[in-house]
Parts: sequence; C-alpha cells; structure tokens
Amino acid sequence: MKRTVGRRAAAAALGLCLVAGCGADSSVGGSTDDSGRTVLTWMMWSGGTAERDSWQAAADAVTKAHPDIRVKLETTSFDDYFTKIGTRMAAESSPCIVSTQSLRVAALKDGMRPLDDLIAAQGADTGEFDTAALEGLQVDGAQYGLPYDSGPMVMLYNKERFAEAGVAEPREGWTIADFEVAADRLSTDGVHGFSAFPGDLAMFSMIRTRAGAQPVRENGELGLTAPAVERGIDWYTGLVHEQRSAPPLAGNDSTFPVNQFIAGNTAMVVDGPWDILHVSSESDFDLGMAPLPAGPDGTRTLSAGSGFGIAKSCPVPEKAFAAIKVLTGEKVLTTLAAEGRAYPARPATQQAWLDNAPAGAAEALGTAAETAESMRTTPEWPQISTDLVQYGIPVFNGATPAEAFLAQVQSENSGG
Amino acid sequence: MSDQRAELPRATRAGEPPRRGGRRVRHAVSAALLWTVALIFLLPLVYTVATSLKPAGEVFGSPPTLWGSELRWRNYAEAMNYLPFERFILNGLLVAGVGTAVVLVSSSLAAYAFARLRWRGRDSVFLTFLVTLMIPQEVLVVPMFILMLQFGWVDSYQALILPWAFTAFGAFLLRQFFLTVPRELDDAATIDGAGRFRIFWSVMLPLARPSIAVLAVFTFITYWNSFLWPLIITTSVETKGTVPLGLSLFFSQQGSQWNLVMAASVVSMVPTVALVLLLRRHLVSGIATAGLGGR
Amino acid sequence: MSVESDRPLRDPVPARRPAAGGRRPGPGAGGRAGAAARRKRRGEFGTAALFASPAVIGLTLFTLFPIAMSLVISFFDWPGFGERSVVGFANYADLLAGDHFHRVVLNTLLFTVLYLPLNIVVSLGLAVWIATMGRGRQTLRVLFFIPVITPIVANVLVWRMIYQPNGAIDGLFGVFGATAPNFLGDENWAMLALVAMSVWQGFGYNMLIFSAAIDNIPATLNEAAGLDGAGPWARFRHITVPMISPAMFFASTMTLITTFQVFAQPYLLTGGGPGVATETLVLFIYRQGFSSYALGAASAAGWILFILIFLVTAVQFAVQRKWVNYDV
Repeated sequence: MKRTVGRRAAAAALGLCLVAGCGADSSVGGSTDDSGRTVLTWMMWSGGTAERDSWQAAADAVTKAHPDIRVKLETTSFDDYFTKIGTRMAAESSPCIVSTQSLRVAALKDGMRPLDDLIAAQGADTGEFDTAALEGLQVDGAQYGLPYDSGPMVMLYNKERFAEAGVAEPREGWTIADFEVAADRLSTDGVHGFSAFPGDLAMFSMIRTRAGAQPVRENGELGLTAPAVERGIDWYTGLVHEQRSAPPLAGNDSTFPVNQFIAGNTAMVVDGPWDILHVSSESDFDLGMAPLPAGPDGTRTLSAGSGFGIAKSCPVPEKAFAAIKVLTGEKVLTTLAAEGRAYPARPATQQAWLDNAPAGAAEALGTAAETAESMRTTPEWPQISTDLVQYGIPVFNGATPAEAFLAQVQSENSGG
Repeated sequence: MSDQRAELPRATRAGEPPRRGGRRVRHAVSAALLWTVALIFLLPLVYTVATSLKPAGEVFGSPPTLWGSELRWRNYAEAMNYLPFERFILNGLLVAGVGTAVVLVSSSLAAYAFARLRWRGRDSVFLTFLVTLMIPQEVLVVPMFILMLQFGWVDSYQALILPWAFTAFGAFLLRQFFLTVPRELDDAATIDGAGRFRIFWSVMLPLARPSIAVLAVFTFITYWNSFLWPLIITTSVETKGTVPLGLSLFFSQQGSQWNLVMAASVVSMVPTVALVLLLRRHLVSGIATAGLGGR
Repeated sequence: MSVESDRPLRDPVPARRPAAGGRRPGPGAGGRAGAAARRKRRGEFGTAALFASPAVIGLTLFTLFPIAMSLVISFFDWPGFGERSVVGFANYADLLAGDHFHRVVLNTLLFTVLYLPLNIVVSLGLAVWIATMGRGRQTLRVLFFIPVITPIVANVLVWRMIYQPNGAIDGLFGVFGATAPNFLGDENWAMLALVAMSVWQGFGYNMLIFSAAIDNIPATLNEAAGLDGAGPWARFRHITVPMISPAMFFASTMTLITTFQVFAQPYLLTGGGPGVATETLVLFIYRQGFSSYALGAASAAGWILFILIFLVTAVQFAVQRKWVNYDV
C-alpha cells in the first residue's frame, strides 16, 4: 500500500514540475510576460551590487522608452561571463541580448546575428560612436554589436615615484627611448619601473607602437610569427629578463601588472579606461596618465571596447535592437559615464566620465583615441589569450626564446 | 583479536606510551613539536586573515608583510555591503543543507540494499555507481544543463541540489559500514517480527549515526564550495547565488578587490567550521566504525 | 572488472565481530534462526528495489543520462554554436595524435605520482603522530582539516605570496643571502610547487580517515608489543599499518580518482603554465569546452580520462588483496 502511494506522489510531483516548470521563468529570450510585454533576457558581466544597479537602471531605461519591452538582466563576473555565455549558446538557451568585448566578438559571432539590416531599418546613427569602438565589434565587415564603452590603452604612472627618482614625467610625444630610460632609472632596490605581462591588450598595444604590427593581420589571419611581431615581443619580454626594468613573472594572475602598480612596486603600467577609476581610488599616490610612447611611426595604441549584440536564436531581433539602441544611447551612456561604469563609446558623452577622472585623463585619452586602432582578433582568441599567458611567462623570465613561443601559439591556433 | 577488542573501552588510544619516567619527557617534546608544526601549517591561514584586514593598496606590497599598516575591520562591512552576501550564505545553507539531507536519505537506503539484501544485479548496479565517479564533472555540465532545460529547472533551487545528490560516494561509504554490522542483529530483529524497514530504521541507522555524520560533513563541504554548476545553472545570481559565486563577483572588469575577497572568504568559512566543530566527535570515531578502519 | 573479486563488493561478509550493544544472540540460536531468516530473504528483489530506488532513479536521471549524452557528444564535431556533425572517432584520433595532449596526460600522471604518495604519507604520518597526543587531539585534527574548508581563491592568493620572487620563501632564503627559485615561473619548479600547495590544502580528508582507523586499534595490541620490546617503528609497521590497511585502501582509491581529475589548483595558481608544465587533463578539458567551445573534443578527452582512471583503479583493486588486511 504504502509503496504505491509513495511512488504515485513522487511521480505526481515530477510530472507537475515538468508541466508547470519548478524553475523560474525560462531563460531563453523573447517570451511574453503577464502584462503582455516582450521579455528580453540580457546577459552582462558585473561585480558588486552598486555596479549591478547601474546596469539594472539601464535595463529600466529601455522599458521607459519602449513600454512594450522588459529587459531582464542576468549578471555574471567578467571572468566567468564567457564560460557561461558559451555554455548557454551550446545548450541553445542563449539570452536575446548578448554582451561582448570586442576581443571576443569573433569567437562568439557564430552564435550572433549581424546587425547591418537592423541598423539600416531602424536608422541608427553609427557615426556618433567612437570609430575604433565601433570597428571593434565588426567581423568580416559585418557589424555584430553596438558599443557602450571605448577602450584606448594609455600609460598610467606613479607621479611620486617619478619625482623621487628625479625622472621627467611622460608627456605627449615621449618616445620609446624616453620610456626605456625612465623604466630603467625607476628600477632600484627591488622595485621596478614598469609592469609587463603577457596580457593581450596591454602587451600588443606597446608592441603596436614600438614595432608597428598587430597580432592579427588586416586580412584577419593570425600573424604572430610576422617579423614585426617577433621583434616587438623580443623587446617587450626583454624589459623583464634583459633590462630588468619590470619584475619577473610568477603564476597566471592577469591582475598582476595592475596590482603591482597599485602597490607601488612598479611605476608604470599600460591600462584601459575601464580600470582607471578603480586604480585611482585604490592607490595612495598621485596617479598620472599619458599616451603610450611614440615608436618609429609616432604614438600608436590599440583599443578594445565592449557592446551589445543579438543572439542568432533571438525570435524578436527588431525589439532586441530597439533595446540595444537605448542601452547604447546618449542618455544611458551619460549616466553610466557619470557613475564611472564606462568610458562611453559616444565621444559626446565622455565628459561625464572625465569629470571624475584623475588630472590629465582628458589629454591622454584624447590622444589615445586619435591614435588608436581597434585590436583585431580571430575566432580562436579566447584560447590564444590563455596560451599567450601560459606559454609567455617563461619567455618573460628568459627561459624560452620568443620565436619558439610565438611559433607554438601560432601553430596551435591557426586554421579551424 | 576482535574478541580482545570487544572488551576494550572505546576511548583507549593506539600508541599511547606506557607511563614510564623518560617517556614522559619525550612525549612532552613530541607534543611541543607537533603544535609547532600545526602553527607553521596554519600560517597561510593567518595570512588569509591578515590580508582581509589590510588596506587595498597594501595587499601586494613588496616584500609582502604579514600585517598591514592598520587593521581595517571595515573591510568586513564593505565586503558584506559590496554584495548581498548574507543572501548567498542563506542560499548556500539551503542548498548544502537540503542537498546533504537528500544524500543521507538516498545513500543510506541504497547502502542498505547493497549491503544487506540479496537481489539479482546488485553487484552490477553497485559497480555502475562506482564507475560514474570516474567521469569528470566538466564534461557533464553541458548535458546536465540541457536536461535541466527540459525539466524547466534552470535557475531553481532543485537544479542546484538534485543533480549531484545521487553520486556513489555516500552509498559506498555507508555500505562499507553496514557490511561490518553482525548479521545476528538482523536475524534477532527478524525473529522479533521486525520488517526490513524496521531493521533498517531501528537497528542499522542508530548504529550508523557516526558514519552518517562523516558523510554529512563531506557532502556539506562539497555543496558549499561547488562553483562550476551553480555558475552555469543560476541565471539570477543576486537571488539564487551561492557563496563561491559571490566570491567570484569581487573580480570585476573594473578591478579586483583582493582584501574584500579575503574578508568574504573568512566569513564564508564560518558555517563549515561550525559544522565540523559541532560534529567533530562523530567525525572521527565515525569513519572508524564505517568499516574503513580495522575490520 | 576486477572490482568484482574484491571482497567488500561480494556477498556481505559474515562479520563475526561482536555487537557493540551486547544484543548478540547465543551462538546456537543465532545460527539456526539466521539460516531460516536467510532462506526467507531469497526473493528480496521487491524490497531491494524499494530501498535502492531513490538512489538508482536519481543516478539514472541525473548522472547516467548526462554521461550517455557526453559519450554521444564525443563522436560529434560539436561547436558551442553553429553546425554539428558526426565525426566518429575523429575527436579521439586527433587527441591521441597530438603532442600537446600527450604532454597533458603525462602531466596528469606526474601530478598523481607525486601527489598521491605525498598525500598518504603526510596524512598518515600526522594521523599517527596526533594519535599519540592525549589532550588536544580533536583540536589538532580540526586545525589540520581547516584548509579543506577554506575557499580555494583565498588559498591560491596566499600561496602566490609564498612562492613569488620576493615572497615568503624568498625572504627566508634572503636571510642566508640566497635567492629562491621563481617557483611558479620556472618550468622545473612549477609542478612541485603545485603539488606542495595541493597536499597542504587536501590531505585533511585522509588524515581524518586515518585518525579514525587508528583510534579503533585496540590499545592492548600496542601495549603488548611495547612489553615485548618493539620500538615505535616496529609497532607502526606490524600493528598500525595492517590494522588500518582497509582505510588506506579506501583513501588511496578515492584520492586516486579525484587526483586524476585535479583542476582548481592548476587553473587558479599557474593556469597550466609556465609553458605546459602544469597543464592537467581536466584543465585541458575545461578549456576545450568552455574557452574554445569545442564540446566534442572536450567530451572525448573526458572519456579518455575515464578509461585511464578505470584502468588504474582496476589495477589497484587487483593488487589490494596482497596488502590489504581485512581479517585483523
């Protein structure tokens, strides 16, 4: 007796769950809620509550502009975001609105939809965005997202360390030679002049200005073994093991260069605007900002922005695009900029961010934006950036030659 | 040998030296040495606590110092305010607590069937249980997620709990214990007219209480610290997030808050340490009677 | 599988150990009644099904299905998004032909060969040592168990500070005017550093298991041996080890399975580097699956790992009869 009752209860419970769905609402985008609004899921990376609130406000702004749309925000930490979005796409439950960093857009593009037709149909004025930020979200000439932030790489420096060592502070037009002298003279007594690390964006920005090449050719092929890239890597890793003006590397912690800088162990670091307000508030010294030093063809830098695109599987792309237009619109970007969440991709709204930024930010970022190229990547980039760190560390420490390292990463990640 | 043992009080200890003069000194030296080892062993944890009290700029000071320039207790308040951390702790307690309960029930029932009942296919079923431990979780996550989609369980507590509540570890552990309980006990109970469930409930379970405590601690810790699955299955981290997910949120694109991570880590240890302290008597004698020790 | 010949897996051993509660029936009566009861037990399939069903249903639903599906996926070219196609054994063939994969398998074996004995020696040594203490035993055991509980991100940060140039160990070396190696940045040291940190963090489980087993050794055994003039080593060798060998077998089997699957420590501490020095199989699988979104290759690698673990565990079960003493 008892048995059958128990079994029936279990079966009933399971059946009920299957029908009614014991879970919360389905995470696949494009459903309709009780009040008849279209619900669009938007997946975004975010840290603490305050940051999440900023994104939630942006989501609410969409409903304000389009009462028939509700954007359901789903957040994950930045590092885990790309793990999660990949899994969700693989399981065919992608959110409608996909956030992506420009370096990852090539990797995600097969799960995303080109926006060019929607841009034309809904009359989005892409000319109002920073060019490099907009280009960063293109793959093979198609636009896969609209950018919300813009990220030209600049040099941060510790003014106090420069003053103590009696070294002139970097200013516009300083050269690689100036940089090398400063890095060398700032390296004494267990502290170093510069933070070097095989992190893709910071490293290749310096190599771009010093040696004139990007890791991916203009035709989209991985070009790590190009002579200019090899020369650049030789020089950059030599800062650690030859010139000893940057600390030796241990472990794969990508926050290492900036943390060393904040702690005062290094006097210069290459960083992007998304991190600058954090560095400025955590460090207890005067923070300076300058463009990257000029190489043979003048000051150059790379940039990486982030933005929002639409999943291929999204059943209501028109509505999703309308939402994205709001999320990257002037109003939302101004708010995000004022809250320090983003150095916005619309130049017209950047002043709100600069108001809270350290002195010299406007000049440095202005120059950087003018001289920035969008950093090109390939679909294999997530693995390549991991490989660069993994195989790169012995090169920085002088245990492996740069050529072998580049050849290895190149051969493991080309094609496919 | 087993007969000797029956006469011994449980508290007797192996290796305790007979009380002779010189031995006592040697014992004291050994104790002092062991406590020194323990303290050295715990230094990294001291460092964890010390880091949780440092100002942000000093976490990566070079050369590293144990203590910062001040004891910044505010870090704890900031860590708790940075995120809805108490929510994560409650979720963690719910998931780990219910998960542990489910594991205990299903494992003890199954262990009884594997150890005490005679049925066709028993050994093959048991082997299947064991073999499933050998597949890494990392390749099961995507299929499991697809399954949860079918159930409509994405972002639910049951999806956080149930998929990992039926692994073989618990059934294996308890089965080993049940094997060591003398059959005469069952037989006596059978003669008294007790049914199978009565025997399980009033004979086996009371005897197994210590090993159940062990299983409870191990299971609770596994749920509490699990990361990959909660990351994938949780879509509203602010309401369904667990503690490890909360810790990951301190690593933002806008910089990492290492001192706050350490503070939150220390806080997150409180429930598990409390559990271990609560169950520590059972924990140790428990595994012994689980039939893993001298049988 | 040779597991079947293992004693605990066979029909329940008629353990003759006296019952703790003293409810042991007289030998004669027990024997006869027992036989009757056993006869009655023949057709217990229904009862067994009832007892085992929650676990069996749960395992089938939540574990066997994903396992079967991962096997299916391993025969597909299954990118995270886009076209999927059946490729047969191509994923396996590609993996087995690649130098990188060979190195990753070797690393996993190396990690296991270093970690497993070290873990057993440290946990057993400390368990034996702690057992000689009177007061404070429980406290010591809890203390040594704490790293198991500590969130791994916290452990990793601290160990970085210990290992890095200018870190804690380097500082100690500096007292003697020497410089420590760059443990995490040097290919020759990274694996050892990883193993040391993992042992520190993980041996608490086994220490508890051994502690419990040692606590159960009758003290009279040691006392008798002591009176016969046996030293501590002889007592350890001839009393402790045989008495706790079943616990050692259990601990080494479970540790072996989990060691082959080591992931969090290399993922967080070294990222598999420098070079491929510390890249383990599950780290490789994780990246194939969640970084390259190549689910087919990841699943195939997972099944190769499964076969490895299965073989080694089978050998372990086969060999155990020679050293595990169930009849003490």
